[in-house]
Amino acid sequence: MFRDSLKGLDRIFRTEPPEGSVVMVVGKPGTLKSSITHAIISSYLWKHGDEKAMYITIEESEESHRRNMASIGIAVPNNQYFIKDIASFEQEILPEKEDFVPDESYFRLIIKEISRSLGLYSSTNVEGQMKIMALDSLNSFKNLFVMDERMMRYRMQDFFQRLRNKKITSFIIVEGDPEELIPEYFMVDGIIEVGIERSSSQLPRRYLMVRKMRGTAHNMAPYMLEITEDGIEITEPLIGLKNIKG
Amino acid sequence: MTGIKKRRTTIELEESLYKRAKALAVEKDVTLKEIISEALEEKLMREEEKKDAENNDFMDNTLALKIIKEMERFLSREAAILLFRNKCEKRGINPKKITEHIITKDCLESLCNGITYISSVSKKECIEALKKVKERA
Repeated sequence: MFRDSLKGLDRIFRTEPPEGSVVMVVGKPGTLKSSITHAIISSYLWKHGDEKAMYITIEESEESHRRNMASIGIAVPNNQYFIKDIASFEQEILPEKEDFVPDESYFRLIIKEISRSLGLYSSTNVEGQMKIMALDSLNSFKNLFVMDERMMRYRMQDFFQRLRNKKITSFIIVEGDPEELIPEYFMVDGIIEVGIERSSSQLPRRYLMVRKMRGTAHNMAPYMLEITEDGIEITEPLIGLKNIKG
Repeated sequence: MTGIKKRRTTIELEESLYKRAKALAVEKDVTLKEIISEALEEKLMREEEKKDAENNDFMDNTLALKIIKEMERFLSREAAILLFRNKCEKRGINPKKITEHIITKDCLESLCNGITYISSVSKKECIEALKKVKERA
């Protein structure tokens, strides 16, 4: 799924991450987290015509995602790639009361609906070959509900485990400074960091680095990331960085 | 696959209740634990149904019930009921009094908009399915 997706990603991944890995894509705003995820997923789907993926968005609408993808040359097989807007869904089911706050029961309901769409409850995958899920982003997902943080982590952990059991490879997008440890780092199998390197002598350069990937042989170096006419491309390693800032 | 998580608990039962439950377990050739679990499961289900019925008295309306049933193909029952009730409220419709004349094409489209935010069913397929329910009513 990874090695032959973005051009040059095989320079970082020497082997494929196991099916069902939960992979966090972390970086500050504007570091192409969503676009990289879309690019990896769509590339995989084009090669596997009988498989499907679900991209769960919270901050942006489906139309906005599709526009952004088109603008950087990412083509997606529409009948295999479902972009689902759960913030809008939540709005549809919330009572119209000004002071109403969605609590843990709404969290459970939304997770249940996502799980149902992914076929996590059935002995077979009801949606037929749903192989990938992406959540964009974990930060905004958590903001949809008012509930105890530890309980939310516990339930997310359980959800991740069910994704692993079903061998659904998942991308969890997190907006933030990759250097700042968050508890969820320990709940995932892999962490891909994306950022922008700013040195005084050169123009800012985007990079991608695999911080961890369980069960996978991979390069630890940061690699330059460029948007070319052919889409997103991994090019040269960034050596001797002093000022990596996501 | 990981198994279902279990938790140990201690309960005190009246002697006669214990004896009746034990006798039933022997008769059915199951453990006392299974009898208690099953009884608790049934009680919880009844309470949920009661709560459902209190919150959703519109379920007496046959058309509403049929629409919810069809929506359950794409959503859980809980989500289908919430969505249906909200859509009715937002349109100023009393869900108890809906008829096939009140459920317009626009209403069905609005329900399917909500459904397709999360379900992978296409909007067209969703509208067709709900339209058939209305036509059969």
